[in-house]
Amino acid sequence: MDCLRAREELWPPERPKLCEADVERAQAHVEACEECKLYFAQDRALLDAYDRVRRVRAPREVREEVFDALARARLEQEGAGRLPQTVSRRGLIAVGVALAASVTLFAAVSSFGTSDVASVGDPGIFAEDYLRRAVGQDMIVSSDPREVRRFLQRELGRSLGPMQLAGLEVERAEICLINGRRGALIVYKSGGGSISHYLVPSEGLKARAPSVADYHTGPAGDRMPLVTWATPELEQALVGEVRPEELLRIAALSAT
Amino acid sequence: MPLTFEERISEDLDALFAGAAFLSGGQEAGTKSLLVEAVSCASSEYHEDVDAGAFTQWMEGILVRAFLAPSSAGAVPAKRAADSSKQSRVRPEDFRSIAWANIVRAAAGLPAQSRAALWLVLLRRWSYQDAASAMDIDLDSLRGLLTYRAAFFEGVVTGTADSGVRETGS
Repeated sequence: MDCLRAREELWPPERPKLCEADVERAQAHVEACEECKLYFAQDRALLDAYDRVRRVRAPREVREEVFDALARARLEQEGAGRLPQTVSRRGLIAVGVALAASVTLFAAVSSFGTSDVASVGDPGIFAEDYLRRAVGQDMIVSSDPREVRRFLQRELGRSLGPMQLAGLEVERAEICLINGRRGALIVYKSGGGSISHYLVPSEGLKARAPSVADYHTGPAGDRMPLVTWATPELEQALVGEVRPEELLRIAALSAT
Repeated sequence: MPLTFEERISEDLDALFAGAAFLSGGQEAGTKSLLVEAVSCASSEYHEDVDAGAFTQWMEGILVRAFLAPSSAGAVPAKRAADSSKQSRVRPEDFRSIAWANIVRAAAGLPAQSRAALWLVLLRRWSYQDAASAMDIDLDSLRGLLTYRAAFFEGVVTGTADSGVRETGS
C-alpha cells in the first residue's frame, strides 16, 4: 500500500474505522512511514488551528442580508403556492416561555413588505404563521434600558429601545425571527406577570392603530390576548398575562 | 417542535460564513453573496426531519455547489500548476500562531476548485467519496485537486500561497 492510498483509506483519521484488511494495512503503512506521520500531524495541527481561528462571527449586515433574502424567498414561495413543509406544518404560534413565571409568549406575526397588515381581515392567518426565539446567543438580560437599546442597535442596526412606562420594568431582550425577518423581543415585568413586546422592522409598512387582534389558545390551553399595531416601518405586537384593555393602553402609550 | 430552517441557519450561520469566506478567498462581497445565494437556494429544499449534523453537512454541500455554479467565481477552471513531487514540509507547530487571515489569504492563492475540495476534505472532514459527489466530480479529479494541500499549508504559514506547488505521495 502506498502513501496516497493509506491516507485516503484512513480519512478522516478521527473517525472510527471497521477493522477491515485494507484499514489494517493502511494503519501499518502509516506507522512505518515518516512522511505519512508528518502528513497526519500537519493535518491535526491545521484542523486545531482552523477550529480555533474560524470562530468569526458573521457581521450584522451579512446576517441582515441573509434573513432578508430568506424573507423574500418565503414571499415568493407563498406567492407560488409552494410553502416548504416546515412552514405549512407550523400551525402554532406561540413559542417562548418567559422566565420564572412560565408565561407563554405569544406570536404576532405580520405580512412583511408587500401589504398592509391592517388590510388582512383574519388575524388567525398570522397566528398560523410562526415565531420562534431563534438566535439563542442574541439575548441580553438587563433591566437597564440604555443597555438594551445598545444591544438592539448593535444586533439590528436600528435604534429600538424599551418602552419606559410606569409599572413596566424591562427584564430582557432577544433577537427573534418572524417569517425570516429579524426583530426585537423585549420582555417586561408588569405586576406579577410578564409582557412581551415584539418589534419587527418591515419596509413600507404604514402606521396602524393598536387593536386586539384576537384571543388565541396557547400551548397550555390558556387563552391569551394579542394586540398589534404598526408605526412606520415597524410591526409591533404585545402579549402577556394581562387583560387586553391593559395591553391596548400600553400600546397606545407606546405609539404616542 | 422541529426547528425551522431559519432557526437552523441561525445556529450555523457563523460557521457557514467562515466557509463562505474561505471559498471566496476572503473577499467580502463574494463571501456575502455566496452565503446569501446558498441560504436562499437551500430554503426551498429544506426538510425539517434532518438532524443537526446532517443539516450542517447538507448546507456545506449547498455552499460548495453555489460556489462552483457556472455563474460563480468558483466555476473558473483551475489554473494549470507545475506538478512537483513536493510534500509539505511545514512543521505542525507552525500552525499554532496562525490567524484567520492567514487561512483565507492562503485559500485565495489556490484554484477555486481546489479550495472547495480542501475545505470539504481537510477542514470539514468530509470523506473523499462524499466530497467528490458534492462537487460532481470523480474521485481521481478530487485527488488531483487535493494535491494543492502543500501549497495551501505553506501559504497558511508563510502568508502566501504558491499554487504551483503541488503535493504527491510515494
